[in-house]
This record gives sequence, structure tokens and C-alpha cells, in this order.
Amino acid sequence: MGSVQALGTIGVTAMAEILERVMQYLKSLNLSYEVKPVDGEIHRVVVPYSVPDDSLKFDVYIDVSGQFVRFWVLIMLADRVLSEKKCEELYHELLIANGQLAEVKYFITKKGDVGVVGHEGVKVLTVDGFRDEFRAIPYGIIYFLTVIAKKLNLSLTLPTKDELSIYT
Amino acid sequence: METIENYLKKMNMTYRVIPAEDRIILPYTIDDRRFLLIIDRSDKWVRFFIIIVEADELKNVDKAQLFKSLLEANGQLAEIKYFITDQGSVGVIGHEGVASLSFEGFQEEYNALPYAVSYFIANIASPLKLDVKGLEE
Repeated sequence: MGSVQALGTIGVTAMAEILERVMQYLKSLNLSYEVKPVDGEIHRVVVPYSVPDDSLKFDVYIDVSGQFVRFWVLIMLADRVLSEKKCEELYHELLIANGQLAEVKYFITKKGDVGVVGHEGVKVLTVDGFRDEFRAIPYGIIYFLTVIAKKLNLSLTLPTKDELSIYT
Repeated sequence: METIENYLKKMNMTYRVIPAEDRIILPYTIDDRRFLLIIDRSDKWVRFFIIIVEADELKNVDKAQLFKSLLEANGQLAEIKYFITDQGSVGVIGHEGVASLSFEGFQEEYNALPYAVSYFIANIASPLKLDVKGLEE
């Protein structure tokens, strides 16, 4: 079950090659990006993204590590207080959506932040797989805002860069 | 489906094809319990899933804690996505794009599912005192 083991370390050269491929893939998708070293084993690529009508702008984070390329965005921070009932309803809707939407994976952090995440193994990384995983993130955000939040009558805006700064 | 069957043969897996439903079913024993791993496909995606616990087995379970544990695990485990069905059953699911389908990608996605069932039994069901029975004989 090698695909779910803890992240291992790989050589600096191999990591540089993976990072280079990620940057090439982003260029092929006409997306701008900024690379930020996070620690010795992870490089973070920040991709500013806006939906076609510019009504929604956010950064997609791509963490490149030894075994996986991880795409993620936090949609709702834990400090947004919901009643227990509303919280359970939200989690229920997220888990239903996880079954219905290909590649879109909603998750929560230990703290209770809600986000969308995707992984692609570095050994099987291709431009097509990368594109599918990347596109799932904006789709997951839009689906959250237009379907899930609407259904639960939750009015929310995405976290600001300032609010996300402790995470990124 | 022919490509998928070829991958399964390469992995020496025993499987059954249900032509009417365009599905492949693989009986799986995980932690001494029987499950069915199901593979089907649409034009764009190959979908893999296992139903781990049926809704009627969850009547006495703390749903809020269950949902929280599933969503936390989704953030911590790569390639693993827990979900619930419209009927309330809990499962694990994976997708692989048809256009980007490769043997290695298929194998990685496929292998994550039995691990996810095992992880669920040990780390999610156990603290909730949920007895995962698997399929009956």
C-alpha cells in the first residue's frame, strides 16, 4: 500500500526535477505562479487563480514533496462559528459531494477549517493528471459556494490572504 | 473496460465483470472481513469504490463525530477519499481520468482503497465503538 505511507525524502535533484515539471505544467496551462520554499522537504507553489468572469479570486497552493504533489485551498476557516446542527449538516453535505464529484475532495483540519484538496503521486505525474487535479480545486470551491453553501443558507466569502497567512 | 481488465490481470486480481452494469467487481478480504471493490467508468472517469458500512449499521453511531473523523482523514491521507451515499452508507472512492489512465496510476488509486478500509476500521470505527462487519457470508 505504498501510496498512503508517510511522505519520504528524495534527493535534492529528484525534488528539483519534480518542481521543474510542476512549473512546466503550470506554464502549459497558462497559469502564473510563485515558488516558496516551506521547509527542507516541501516546496510550495502559489498559483493566483480567478474564475472566467473575475468574480472570484483565490490562490491555489501546490505543495511538492517526496511522494506527492498536493493541491489545496482553505474555503472556510474554523473561526466561522456554526451551530452544532449546522456543522453536522455541512459535514454531511461535504461527504455526499465527495462521492459525487470526481477528483474533488473536501476535508477539514484538526482545527476545523474546511478545504478542498487533491493529491497526485510523483511517480505517476503526467500533464493530464496534473491538469485534472488542479482543475478540481477551483471546481470544488465554486461547487461549495454555489451549491453546498446555498443549500445550507450559509453566506460566506473566501478567506483573505491576511487570514490565510498563518497557514501559508 | 478492456484496459482495466488488462491491468487487473497484470496485478493477478480475481474479478467478475457485470456487463449489464458495465462494472467490474472484486471480492476483497480486509482485516478478516469481506468487502466488494467496484470499478465502473464514465466517458471521462474510471471510478473505484468500496462501501465500508451500510447506513443501517450506523443507527447508534455519533454521526457528528463520524463525519468529522472522515473529513479529517480526507485531509491527512493522500489518495483516500471517504464519502457517504445518499442513503447514508460510508465508503471510500477514487477516480482516475480516462485520458490520463496509466497502469501505475490505476495501481496507486486501486491500492489506496483496501488501505482506507483498514484505516477506517482501526482509526475511525474503533473510537466510535462501531463494529464493522463487512459483507455477510
